[in-house]
Amino acid sequence: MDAVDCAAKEDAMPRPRRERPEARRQTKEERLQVRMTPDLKRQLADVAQFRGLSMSDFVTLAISEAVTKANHERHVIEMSREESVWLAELLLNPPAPNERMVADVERYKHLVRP
Amino acid sequence: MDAPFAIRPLRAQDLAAIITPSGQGGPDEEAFKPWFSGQCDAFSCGDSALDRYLRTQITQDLRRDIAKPFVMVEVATRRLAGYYTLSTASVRLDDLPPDTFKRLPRYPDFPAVLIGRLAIDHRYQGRGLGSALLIDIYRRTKRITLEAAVLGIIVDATDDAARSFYEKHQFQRSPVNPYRLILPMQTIRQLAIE
Repeated sequence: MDAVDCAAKEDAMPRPRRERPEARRQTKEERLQVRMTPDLKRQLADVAQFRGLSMSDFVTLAISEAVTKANHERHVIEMSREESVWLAELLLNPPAPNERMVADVERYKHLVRP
Repeated sequence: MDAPFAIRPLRAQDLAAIITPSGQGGPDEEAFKPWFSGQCDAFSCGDSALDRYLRTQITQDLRRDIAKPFVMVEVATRRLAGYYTLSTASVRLDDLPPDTFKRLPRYPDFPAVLIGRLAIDHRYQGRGLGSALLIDIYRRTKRITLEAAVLGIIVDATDDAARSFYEKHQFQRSPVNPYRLILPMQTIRQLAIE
């Protein structure tokens, strides 16, 4: 398996030469090492070169796009076993509307046009 | 007497009859845009993220079909009193104990309605209008269930105040994610609204 190191600078702006120490501490650079088949890495090198990007930049860009897409799609809510059991029990024993809720419905009819 | 507020989808054609001076509606893209931008500028609910969302993102989310926004307008003043957004979500359950599962429909994913954001302008707070927005959401959700199965309404509360608002309205708190709340459809179904 081959590996690619992806570096993600949180602040991509060029830094001034001399930084105050506290400013430098805020510049975060995270690394992620991923393993892949030699074949995928060859393809990666190929497409990255075609797009005029380093492999690292290409992968970082691809990750960023994937994260954005996943965030838009995160309307899929995965529940753990404990939460699933809780939900199942809630669905099997739903609370009856309390007085407040019934009163809210009556108020709604006076407040909001159909 | 007519009720003082109207809740409509955030679309020119749905709002035309309420926001145009004549009240007659008509081709109102031109009337809608300045009205909405003026209302966004005036809107302030006490949570700057919810104000900002209205100003910068709500029309984008509408265009990209990420969330459906609905607005509450005070009819006499044509002022924006509040808003909420809805999406659909699927809840993916982990394997349940067989005896529990037997009594539930076997969907791979449980469909739900997700409240994205909900806010009332400060000038209209303290009058139960937040509750009215919730009842409006129940009404719309009930209509959806005529066409598709929905297990209930889900919300991920952003803070303690939001969470206690939903808990006061009988949303049940998840034991795993303490800011996730659900109101089962069966509870809503018992309400006298259509």
